[in-house]
Amino acid sequence: MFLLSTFTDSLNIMGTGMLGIFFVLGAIALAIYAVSAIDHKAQAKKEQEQQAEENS
Amino acid sequence: MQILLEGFLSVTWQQIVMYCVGGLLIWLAIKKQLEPALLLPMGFGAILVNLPNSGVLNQMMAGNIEAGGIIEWLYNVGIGAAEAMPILLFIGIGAMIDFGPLIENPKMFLFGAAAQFGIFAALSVATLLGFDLKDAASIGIIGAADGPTSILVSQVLGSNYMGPIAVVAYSYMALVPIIQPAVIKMITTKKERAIHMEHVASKPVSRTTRILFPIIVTLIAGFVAPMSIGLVGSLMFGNLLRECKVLDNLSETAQHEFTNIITLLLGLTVAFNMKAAQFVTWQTLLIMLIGLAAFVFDTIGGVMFAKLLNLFSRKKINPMIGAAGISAFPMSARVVEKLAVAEDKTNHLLMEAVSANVSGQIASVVAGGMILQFFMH
Repeated sequence: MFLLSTFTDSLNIMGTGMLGIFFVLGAIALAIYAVSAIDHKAQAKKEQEQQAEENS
Repeated sequence: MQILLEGFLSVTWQQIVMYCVGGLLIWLAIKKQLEPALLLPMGFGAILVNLPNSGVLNQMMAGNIEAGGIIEWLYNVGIGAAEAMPILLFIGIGAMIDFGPLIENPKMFLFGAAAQFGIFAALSVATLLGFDLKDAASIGIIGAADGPTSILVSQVLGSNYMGPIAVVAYSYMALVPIIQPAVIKMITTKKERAIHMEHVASKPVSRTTRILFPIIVTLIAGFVAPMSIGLVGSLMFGNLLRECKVLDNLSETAQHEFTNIITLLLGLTVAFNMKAAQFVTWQTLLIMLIGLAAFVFDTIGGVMFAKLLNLFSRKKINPMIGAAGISAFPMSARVVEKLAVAEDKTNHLLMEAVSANVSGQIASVVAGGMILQFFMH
């Protein structure tokens, strides 16, 4: 009975643990996507302004 | 005369077994070059702590005076108190890692997550074999394929099996080039292994993003799993030292001298838990088997996740990339590249495999933190 209850607890840890890991890493991935997108946009704008300056 | 023979007369057969275990670890380190930085000090330390009345452990002298032993002192200070050594080692590891390939391709984070499945599978197997939940969790963390995380989790949970866990974790990490190919070939077809992945030229990662990355990871992991902050924070602090480009001296020191000193001492210190009474038990054999199962399930978890994604994705992912999500860096990435090229000489997966492998570094410490989080309540 104890073995079964410990095994059930372990399955609970497995479910919550894997969900938690995916959640954390998924959130990190999304944050990095967002930061990279903002950064690339800012860089593109800077390059455009530099280009405009050179042309004028 | 008696005093000269006391040591020889009081040795036990279990201690003799430990001399052989120590010798084996030293042989593996030198002859086979399996994780020599850890296995050699652990092997030598195993011999030191198992000599009768060894002076490296605290001993009671005549007049009720306790003589301190250096390995016991190192253990109490370096691991017993706040798990200092494994956590500090992570600063060096973070300083060594280039997270650029992962930042360029953030979806690879998910493969790192999937490849931690072995930790929890091994935990469940351990409970079925009669270990209590804390010991099962300490054994399961072998699947993190990360020595410092294994040592830290088993220490915090108060496991009696830290010695075998550390030996098994480091040994199997070194055996990844043998374990993973066998498992990958069992669960993938030739056609799947030959899948080419499109190399999309991505914009280089800016310095700003590289600096923000460790801060973002620390904040997110820290809020969800506060018990992981010790490891994640150290890893990310080391990485910030590397990426800020204004502390090159500190970064160099963290990568080389600092890491070497901690590694040298950690191996000897872990040997404190390799005393015969703790190590020569049938549970050690079970831990070896469960540890192997952990690595096998890690590989299965990563590969099956990639196959699952392929059901919904037009651009097929080579499922071997999933196997690279294990934290054994860079061996796992090299294994995947080697298997891919063996099927098709033009199929190079190293870039994607390295991204997944590097994400496994973060995923494994987050997994360790999640495990500790459960036992906080």
